[in-house]
Amino acid sequence: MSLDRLVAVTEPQSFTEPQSFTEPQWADLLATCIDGFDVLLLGPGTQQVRPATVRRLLARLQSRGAVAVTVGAPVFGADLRFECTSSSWVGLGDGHGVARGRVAEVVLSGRRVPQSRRASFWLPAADGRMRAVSTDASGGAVEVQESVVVPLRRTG
Amino acid sequence: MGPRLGVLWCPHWPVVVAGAQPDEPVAVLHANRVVAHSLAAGADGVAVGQRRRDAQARCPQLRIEPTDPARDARVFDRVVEAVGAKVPRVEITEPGTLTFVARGPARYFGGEAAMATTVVATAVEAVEAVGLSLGAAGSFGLGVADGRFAAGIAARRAAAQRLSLVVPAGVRATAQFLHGLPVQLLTDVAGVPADVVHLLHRLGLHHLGTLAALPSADVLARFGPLGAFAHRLASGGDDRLPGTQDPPAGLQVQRAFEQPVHHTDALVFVARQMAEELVAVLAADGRVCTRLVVVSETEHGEQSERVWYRSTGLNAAAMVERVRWQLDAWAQLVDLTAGVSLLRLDPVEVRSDDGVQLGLWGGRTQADDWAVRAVARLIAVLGERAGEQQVVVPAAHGGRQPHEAYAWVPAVAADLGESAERLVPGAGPWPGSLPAPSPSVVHASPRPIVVLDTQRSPVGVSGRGVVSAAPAFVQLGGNDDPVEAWAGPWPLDERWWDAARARRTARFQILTRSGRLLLVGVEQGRWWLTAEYR
Repeated sequence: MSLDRLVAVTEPQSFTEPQSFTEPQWADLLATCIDGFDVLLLGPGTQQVRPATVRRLLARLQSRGAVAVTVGAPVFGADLRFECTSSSWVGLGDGHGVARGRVAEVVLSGRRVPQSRRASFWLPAADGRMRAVSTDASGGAVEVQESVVVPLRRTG
Repeated sequence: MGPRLGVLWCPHWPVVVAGAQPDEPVAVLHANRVVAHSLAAGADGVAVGQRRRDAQARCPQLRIEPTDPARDARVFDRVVEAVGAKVPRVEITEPGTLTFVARGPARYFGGEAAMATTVVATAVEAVEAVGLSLGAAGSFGLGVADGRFAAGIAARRAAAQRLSLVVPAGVRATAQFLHGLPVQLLTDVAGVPADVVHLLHRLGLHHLGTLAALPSADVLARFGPLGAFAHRLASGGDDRLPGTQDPPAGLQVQRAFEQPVHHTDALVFVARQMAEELVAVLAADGRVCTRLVVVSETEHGEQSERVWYRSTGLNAAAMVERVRWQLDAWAQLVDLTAGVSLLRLDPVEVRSDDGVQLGLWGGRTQADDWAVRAVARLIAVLGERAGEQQVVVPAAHGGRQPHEAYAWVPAVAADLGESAERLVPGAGPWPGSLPAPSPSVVHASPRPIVVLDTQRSPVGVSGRGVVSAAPAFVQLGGNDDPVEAWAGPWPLDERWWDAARARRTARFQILTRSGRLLLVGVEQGRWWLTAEYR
């Protein structure tokens, strides 16, 4: 996703006012985001949203064809669930080197996936992107050029 | 030669509607760009198309108003109503501009000059009757000439001189009037694409007269139909777009309501279906409506009729918008005694549709407009003051440390239309910055952390960048976490020439046994957690 298409809404920073949005504000904000943008990335703060509001927003999300990705907020009852089971950083030595990337094993499960699937990814790779990993006979991690297409449709 | 037309034009109409006082600097903004400004603001250097912050820099006491075309149209309807009582067949081009056929009224009032004076006086009266002042935007200008283009230019010049301007009839007289005027007017008044006009400038054709002096066949060969159209405009010819014609009868779409409708929203909903129906019928023949008559009637016979014109053609959304403007203004102006029983959309001028080609790559799309609107709405939901701070977009900042590379700036202060330039990294290659991948969590303010060696004594870095011992443990929030691998130090000595902003630090990457990769820095003997790779 290109950075110039990113808009962030942050929670209030002031110490005198309440530290999060009110319920009607949440509903309004999320509804506006769904109408205006194609991909939503929601932080843990969305856990405060009431289930009734969530249901209405989900319906709107589906009719609009937008995608919501929640991080650490299981309230939205996602269709697909990505979990990172193990990860290890590559490139760092004992006082030398620099972190070149991380190999992570990601498990995909969810309502629309009868059997959970797992795959290894560079998350991130040395250039900061995400890439699939294939393991060759010698057991070392080898990068493959093309990335796998993750069937990401209508998450809710 | 076009028909004899009168154009009444108000410069910066939105400013008048915003209630600007004569000497008050006011600007009306859309998508962070100035669309209209008052004379006082213009004198300070505010111009149409400027960004908000540029306008505010030129004129700090500037009052900023958001754009509201519905309100502009509602107020302008009073002017249309008043002028419509004096001259027939008034059509609205956009809020602030109206056009009428000049021949009949000119005879009735005893000459075009007399008619012009009457119409301007009527319009000014109508504006003053609603308690607004025209002073901030100048005045109404009225131009009478052959064709829409010449009359539109005459109105603009008239507004500048606070007079009415009558261009004598005939192709030759029109061409003479246009002779010394800049080609930029082709874009401003006739809607010729800006790149065509830009090309004319580069070819040294700065005035309409020089364009008109070229042989029309050569202009057509070099610039295509658009160039030929521009040439015809410049030489005082017919200024209707090619392919304009009166439509065959029976294209009108009408709905009669058994149960009179009392709510504007319900009517607009019906109007949407009607507009889509009409556009579909026209599109089947490859045509688009340029002039539309909207009629609505109540049960008791009260009637509202307005003619709407748009040179680029009215699509369904534009038709619905105009129906809404008309109905809103009507409901405000007249105390309606009954519900609406009839709504009619009647296309009175159509032309062949060349379509609007959207860019294949880049360019503005509808999704962009939605996103810009959503940002404005988000700010409104959060409240003006808080929203401006909480709705943010990234902007390149430049720096060696992760928290310096990018910054969040308020969305209202950024130009959402042209975001690419916002994200171009600033000057300098920033030697000494860390290579990719970048940390994914950057703390706004660094957190204190303790780094210990195997003897559990703090690790230090000397002035020459030598580590006292290898890090063995880190303490973050009271817990001990053994170090699995580490790298560093990478010293950084920034702005040593500036005592106030100078900074000496050494950075480390530390991988703990729990799997966390931390970016820590040591500054004057104290360790800070600046970022984390997650």
